[in-house]
Amino acid sequence: MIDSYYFRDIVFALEKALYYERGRGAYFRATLIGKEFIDRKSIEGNTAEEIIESCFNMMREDHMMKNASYKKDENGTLFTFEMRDCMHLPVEAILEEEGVPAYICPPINMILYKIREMIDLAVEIADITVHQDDGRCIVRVVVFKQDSPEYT
Amino acid sequence: MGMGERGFLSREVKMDDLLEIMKTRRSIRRYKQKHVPDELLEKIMEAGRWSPSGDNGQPWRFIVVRDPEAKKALGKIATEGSGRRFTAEYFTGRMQERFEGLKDPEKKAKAFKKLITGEVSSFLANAPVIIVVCAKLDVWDVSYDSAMATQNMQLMAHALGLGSCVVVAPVSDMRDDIKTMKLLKIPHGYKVITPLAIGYPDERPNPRPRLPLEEIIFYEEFGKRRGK
Repeated sequence: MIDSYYFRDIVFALEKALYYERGRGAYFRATLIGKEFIDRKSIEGNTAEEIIESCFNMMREDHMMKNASYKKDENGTLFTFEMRDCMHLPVEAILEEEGVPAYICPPINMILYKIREMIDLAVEIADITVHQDDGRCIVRVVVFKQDSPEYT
Repeated sequence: MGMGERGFLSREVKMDDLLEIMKTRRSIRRYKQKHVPDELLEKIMEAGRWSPSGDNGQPWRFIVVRDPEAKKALGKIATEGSGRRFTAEYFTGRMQERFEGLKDPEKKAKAFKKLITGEVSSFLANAPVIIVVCAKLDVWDVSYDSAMATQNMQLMAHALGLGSCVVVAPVSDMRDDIKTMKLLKIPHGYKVITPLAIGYPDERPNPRPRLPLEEIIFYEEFGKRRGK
């Protein structure tokens, strides 16, 4: 019988392998991780804030995490998320032991993917900080309107 | 001169010439709007073709892009990708830390703008030609093989008097990679390694600093320097 550590260990090994293959650039190869999952969910909203709340509700209902919150900076561009007791935390714990910095946050990936898809704003994770001692992650992201380049 | 003295070379090639080509190559981001003949591009791709590859897998495939619309589309993907990445760097203050040494506020603001808007990568659209280096995935060492081919191509371009620049912005992030694959109709089983912008240089950049040899060479094991 497969125990509860099975998927944790598999995800850890895959994340470690990708990091050792691409280094810091592994982040860019992982930006769509979670897309398939969130595509099966019904997410609603006409603003970034509404989409975030809709995603939070789905994630809480699915027990992905116990709690999640966020705040915006004065420009309305930098969003700081706090995820508590997320199901990915045990993976991050072993990655940290192996010297691999946190570079994937599937729940945030999902939220950002939906913001991009539903209201066409540019999105990017800036950094991820894991606090294993009190079971939370801080993820900073930017959400903004991106002007299309013009060429002469 | 016997084969033992010059290996497999069919004629004498001066080591200094080769090193000169390597040391004077620059990443060129501004090009003259002058036609690059097919013959020169073929020489560049011939250089790529002679790269080493694991199991002689030769995974590289090259797409020559001259169509202005396709170049604009690649430039747009590159610009948006870089813009996202550098906007994140700016709003967390890391960009300000990185440019701490740049004291002139005007120059600093200009540099920030170029990065945040993604303009740093938009020159791709204005390159006279782009060779998109692609690779077959059904080999053991796809990235290593293809990177070696790309380097051969850059050196050949330089030796021919052309400038080139590797622009990974349209492919490094999966979100952009997907768009680029679609644009260039890349089939399953292949990936884009990098667009390589090519043209006659319209700039003469200074060499970027290099780490000193003594800092990057170890003997027998990592971290062990000569004489220790």
